[in-house]
Amino acid sequence: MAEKASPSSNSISLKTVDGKIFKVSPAIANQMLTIQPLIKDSDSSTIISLPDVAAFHLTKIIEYLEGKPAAAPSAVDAFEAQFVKDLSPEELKGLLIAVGYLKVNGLVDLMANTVAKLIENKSVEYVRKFFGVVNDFTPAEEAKCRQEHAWAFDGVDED
Amino acid sequence: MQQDSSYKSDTLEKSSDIEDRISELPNSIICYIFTFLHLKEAIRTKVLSHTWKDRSMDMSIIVFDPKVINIDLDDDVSLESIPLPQKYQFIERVDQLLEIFTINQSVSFTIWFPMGKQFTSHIDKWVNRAIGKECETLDLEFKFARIDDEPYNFPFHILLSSKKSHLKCLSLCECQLKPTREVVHRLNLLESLTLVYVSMEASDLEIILSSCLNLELLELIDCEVLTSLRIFNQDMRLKRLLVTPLIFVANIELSIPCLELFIFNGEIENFTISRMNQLKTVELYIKGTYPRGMSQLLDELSRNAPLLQTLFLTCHFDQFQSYAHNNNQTPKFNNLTHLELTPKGDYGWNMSIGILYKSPKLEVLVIEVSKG
Repeated sequence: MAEKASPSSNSISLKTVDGKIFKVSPAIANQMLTIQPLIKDSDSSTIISLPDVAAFHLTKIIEYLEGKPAAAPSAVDAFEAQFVKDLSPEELKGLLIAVGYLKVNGLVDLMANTVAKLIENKSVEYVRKFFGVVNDFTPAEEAKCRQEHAWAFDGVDED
Repeated sequence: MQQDSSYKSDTLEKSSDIEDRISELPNSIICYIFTFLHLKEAIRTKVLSHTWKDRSMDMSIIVFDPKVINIDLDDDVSLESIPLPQKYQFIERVDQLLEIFTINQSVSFTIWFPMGKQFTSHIDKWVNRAIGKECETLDLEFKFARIDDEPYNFPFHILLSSKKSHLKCLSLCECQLKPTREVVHRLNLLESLTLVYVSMEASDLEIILSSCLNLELLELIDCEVLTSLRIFNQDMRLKRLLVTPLIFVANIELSIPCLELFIFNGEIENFTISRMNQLKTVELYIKGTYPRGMSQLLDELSRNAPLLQTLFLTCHFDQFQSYAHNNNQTPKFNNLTHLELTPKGDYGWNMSIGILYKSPKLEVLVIEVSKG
């Protein structure tokens, strides 16, 4: 999957599924655990293809890795809150997939936690809509399934 | 590069397929999201669709707490007086849920419910299951169990009857831990031990420490009988020691070469350390007055913890001769970079100034003014 490109100084080239090429420093690329083993064997002319990552998502990932403050936890919290604040549910889901695929340091936790917070205490209908899950139960099947786990629905607002 | 088979790269290009892409995420990511939620929320996703209903729930953290029978976790009044039928409801629910959730080596397994000795057979069954599945992290939190029952006795017999114990992290609250030299070797892989409100004798602790040489973290919180804590073990790897006694501690004597962090919060009569060449962080929150005088305590730290970098000190300085910056008696802290003080009493300020002059590398200084 590695192609040759014109050599450039000490940066890693990443090609997204929509054909864009990003040049990142090894320090940034190394935080994507999935591609880490490929970095060792690659030289500056190698292009690493990322079949599951779109340009938008890679842009966000690089933005996160470059922008995350190194020091105080409070600064990290503020940065992360700002980072997820502007994402639409669609973007959030797409990014979660990309981040999960690349195994990006720190960002997997942040995305999973963000998604968790968004569906916490929400009704089944809300979560279906949020995730885009198609309900393939018959009404009877769904009622049975709810019945089996009735306790888990205690205290949830139904719509 | 290797492509994860559970991904379909073409789905990313077709926006019409954007629907339900979450269901196609690898199960590991979905289960990872679950770990940020109460397992009640995870169970509810079973009603989303067939895919979700049949999803195997391989969660890395399983916590059975009062919420599984819809009791609020913050409601201490309810938790203190859960009626017996509800306790049985909890047991039944846990048994049901154990059919759904998978326990394996990498699972952190927690039972958090006020259950004492009378529920021994049920708790034993769960512990047996966890140990049998080679679980490495076990947490038995029976807070409030001792209100109306005797504490559950940690089941060494289960460890003995299994081929091998894989336990690395053990946390017990309101349990009884009675180790004997014959059984304690089964905990030899233990790296982290937290005991909260566990009655034990100093000799019990000694037995544990002499066998658990891999122990890196030891937390002793509200362990009532522990009036003296003496640890002199040159072979052990203990790095972090946290002691918050319920009652007054007569004596703490430590000589642990690997120890990096020591936190104490309580009333104490004597604190002696020796050969603590790795000790970097010390937090002492001393209630009342330290009878031997704070100058003695600071001197002890300065001489026996030469690499000390961070010191948090809350204490009373009444019985304390004042330090002046030109006093050669003031202990020196050559490596101290971070100092936080909450001095109480008349001499606190003198002492603070004294330490300042004797800490050439200090970068951060926080002084909290305390009333009284």
